[in-house]
Amino acid sequence: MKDYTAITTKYLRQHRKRTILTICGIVVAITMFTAVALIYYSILNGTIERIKKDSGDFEVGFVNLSKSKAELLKLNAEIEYGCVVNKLEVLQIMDEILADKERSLAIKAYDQDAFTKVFKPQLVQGRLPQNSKELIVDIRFWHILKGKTQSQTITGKAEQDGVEIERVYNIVGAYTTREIISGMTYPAITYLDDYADQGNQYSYFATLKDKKHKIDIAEQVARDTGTEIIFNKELLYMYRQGPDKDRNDALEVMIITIISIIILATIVVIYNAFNTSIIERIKHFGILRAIGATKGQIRNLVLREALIMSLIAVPIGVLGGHIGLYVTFKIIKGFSEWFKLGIYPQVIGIGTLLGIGTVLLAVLIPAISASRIAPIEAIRGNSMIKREKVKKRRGILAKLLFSFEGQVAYRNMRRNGKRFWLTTFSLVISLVIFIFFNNFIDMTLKSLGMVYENAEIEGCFQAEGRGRTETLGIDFINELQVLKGVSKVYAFNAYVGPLLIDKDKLNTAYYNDFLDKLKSKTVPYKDMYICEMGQLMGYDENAFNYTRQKNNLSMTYSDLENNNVILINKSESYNTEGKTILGNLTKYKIGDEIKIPIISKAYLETGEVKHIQEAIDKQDYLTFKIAGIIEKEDLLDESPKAFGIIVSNENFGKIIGAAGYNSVGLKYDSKEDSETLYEKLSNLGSENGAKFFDIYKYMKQNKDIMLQAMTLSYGFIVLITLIAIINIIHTITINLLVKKREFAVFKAIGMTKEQFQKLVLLEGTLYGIFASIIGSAVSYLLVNMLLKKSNPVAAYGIEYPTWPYVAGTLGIIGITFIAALLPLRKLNDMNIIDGLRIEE
Amino acid sequence: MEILRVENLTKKYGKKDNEVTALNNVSLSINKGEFAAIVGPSGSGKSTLLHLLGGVDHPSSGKVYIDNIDMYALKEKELSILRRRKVGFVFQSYNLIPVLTAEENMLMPILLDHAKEDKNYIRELLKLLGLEDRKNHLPSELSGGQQQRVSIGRALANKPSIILADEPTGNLDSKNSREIIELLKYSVKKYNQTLILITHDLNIAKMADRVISIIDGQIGENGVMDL
Repeated sequence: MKDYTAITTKYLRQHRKRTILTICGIVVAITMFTAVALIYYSILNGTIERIKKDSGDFEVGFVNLSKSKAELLKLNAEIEYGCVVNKLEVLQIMDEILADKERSLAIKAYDQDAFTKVFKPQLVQGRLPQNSKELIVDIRFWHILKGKTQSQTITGKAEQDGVEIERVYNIVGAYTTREIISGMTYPAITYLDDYADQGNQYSYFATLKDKKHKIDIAEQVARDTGTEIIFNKELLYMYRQGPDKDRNDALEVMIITIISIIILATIVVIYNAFNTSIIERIKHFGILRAIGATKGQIRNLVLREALIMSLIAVPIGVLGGHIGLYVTFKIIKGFSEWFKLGIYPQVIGIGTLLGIGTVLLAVLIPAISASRIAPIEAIRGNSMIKREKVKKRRGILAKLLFSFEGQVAYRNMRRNGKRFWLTTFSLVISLVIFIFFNNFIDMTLKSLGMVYENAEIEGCFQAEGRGRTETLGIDFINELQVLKGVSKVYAFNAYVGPLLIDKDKLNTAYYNDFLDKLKSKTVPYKDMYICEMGQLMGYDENAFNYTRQKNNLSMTYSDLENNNVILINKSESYNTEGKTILGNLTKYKIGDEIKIPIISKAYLETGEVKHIQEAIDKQDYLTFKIAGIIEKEDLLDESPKAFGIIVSNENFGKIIGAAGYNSVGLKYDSKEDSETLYEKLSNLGSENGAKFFDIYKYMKQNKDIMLQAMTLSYGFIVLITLIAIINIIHTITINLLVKKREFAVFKAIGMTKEQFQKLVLLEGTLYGIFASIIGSAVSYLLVNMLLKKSNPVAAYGIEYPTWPYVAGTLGIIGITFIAALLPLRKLNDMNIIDGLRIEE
Repeated sequence: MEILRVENLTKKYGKKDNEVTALNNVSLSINKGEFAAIVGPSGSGKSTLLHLLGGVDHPSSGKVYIDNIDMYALKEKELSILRRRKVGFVFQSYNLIPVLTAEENMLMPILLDHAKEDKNYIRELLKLLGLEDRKNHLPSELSGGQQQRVSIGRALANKPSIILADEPTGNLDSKNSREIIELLKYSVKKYNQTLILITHDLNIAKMADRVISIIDGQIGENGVMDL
């Protein structure tokens, strides 16, 4: 031994179990710090990459430029790199074979850097254009083209300086884009070689050299050059350079909150571990003080101990965080789209520093209290117990519930106020985190309002100009039904428009909560309300049968045809604060009658409510009987904004005055069919004047997001719970083991083994019971005060789950029971005489 | 030559109605090389006096001088260092650090001082204490007598001026007790140290140069008995 500090390593080695347990706690904490930091950096980098892919690798766009200004910007000293784009023209396609619909191409011209550095279109067919006569088109247009012609040349009309000219392009490839297509105009790109002065239609998209103040610099450049600018805001927000300061900080605030919670949970564990270890060693520190150790030297010993454990835990934790996340991402596919995993030096730095920092922070108080131990106390052999101020407690309730042993256990537990509250506090923290986060996740999932999450339909055709005149006929439906890869076809009509509610059937409480804008769409007229946000569905027999089965309705399609309807009564809407509200707008019950107005052509054309009022005046409505009530439309898994009514398709025709169907949904045989059939179905839709939507893709995307969110959140909860469990077991075990001598006294005076076991187990479990009462109350307050305020879903119609309270309470009582069970074996085997001889 | 001087030392515990005076206005002086035994019934204030002499407790009033240094006028850190260098403690219950070996326990005051150990001296001490073949054992592997020898070794390791021993033989049988006292006497003589020892054993007290009797927190009627 060369230095007095070597005593630290000796102590750690001799108390291997405790050391390992404490290191485990630190490792879990560092693992979490690393994982959270890694998630942060990989989301950040993944998102940056995705934004660059989707909207281009630029920070600022200078728009409506003349050729000379674009040239000037290329040379600007503030700009690192950029590209020129020309909004060329909208080409109305003239080719006979493609001109069955009003198709057009919105053509942009890219310079070389736009192709290779900034926008990098994702080519899926052919090659990039090399001159201004060549074109790459959106893959959706490419499929239409391929379905109709083998030719690569396309002719169209474009307007130039007010004059219509004819243009011919050679299509050399196709690319995918997330650009939303408006109407039948598809995006296309050509090469910008004809760099002529064509008025102010050039744009220059640039990345700035300076890493900070990007907006200020860009605005300065715009002022200097007299140009207009647009920002790639999403990208700038990722650099924390966006225009809205709050949003710049949003992600960091979230990460800091999560990390603070981990720090808090970890500090409690490590503090407890060190505090108990110091309580056990009070005498040793006292002796050291008596033989001349200064306060500083004692403090150093404790801090060194913490540092050594941290240094052991750091590499394991950092590695664990990386491996854990890699494995999670490997198991759950779809993550790679959002996260760019890698080795980030910042992550290793954060994991290490936060880990060591947290540990040192946690041991600071124990270190100080160790250094304050007076040598006289150690020499006198004073025990902790003797110095405790024991308050007289009755424990009558504990006696009533658990008899004498319960009372003794309760008094024992409450004997040392500081230790009691510390243990209870750490248990309460664990429980509160568990309940609060489960509520938080529940709220987040509800607020995401996942559309199509459980939709039956995986692909859907919608006739252009839905619900009015253009519809899909029976031939089309028959063609789909025999298509290989399609297992089910549901034909239906969907129409959002005016429905009627009898005045006495309006749920006024829910109605009053409605956002004003929505309220203005549900207005009283005579003895009714006209609700213009009503959802009217006309089902074919297949669609009806699916709904009937899903909701266990006891009616047939012929009932539906015979003037019965199904009411969709759960609405999902917004209240005055802009929060989502869920509830029933009507008070209709099964057996009630409901009126549906005949939607006149005049209303369809103008949308003026007076036409509905006229219909009411003339009693121009049909009366139906409600035969079933369901919560949401199941084919698309959608909730109506106000309420909905499902009628037979024949009745739908009577109400709207149109035959056929405006929507046809289908279900695939297998997942693969969604990919292989896409092109064919798109073409089929296009031929029949309908748009095809691949709902399966949305559904999968949403499910992936949901799964990812849940994995991350529950992963976090599991780890926090793990820390809590380590803490609870540790604290309870130590609390019991330090009282060996007293337990020996109990045994010596004739306590039976059963009584003794009951006493020990109760002493552990009472902590759990006590903590669960306080923890549940605190959680309830927190959920109500914090979550309900920030919840995007309004309190109205939302039920907060109770299971986290039940699971948390049972869990914590269970864990404290197990924690008492562990030392029980040791205490059971303890020799009474040895126990009595233990120096306290 | 005076090494230790105590002036009007008083120590009170508790407050108001519960106040107990453990030491009441005690004054005494001890010379270098002297072997003094403190005797008295249980609760008379012997240990309190010893603790105050060693600087591990604080007096309610009065002063203690070691080598003319007013101990309780020192700052906390200076007092720790003084204790480390000038005072060696031997306790009745040995008070060894359980995770350190016999030799490491002995070396602790030197290590705390960041000083280099005098290997020859430590070897000599180990030999003197009969612990040569036990030096690598943990306290739990030693007998009571051996543990007390380690404790003496620790008190001597830094070559302090004063050894304070609080019933060092209280837990030992008569053979071991005699050996321990002989050892203490031998070593203080050899290294020119001062030994102040609390004992209940009159035979041991008789071996001292003088006996200080304490009754009810005061030096007894006989005062300091020269034997």
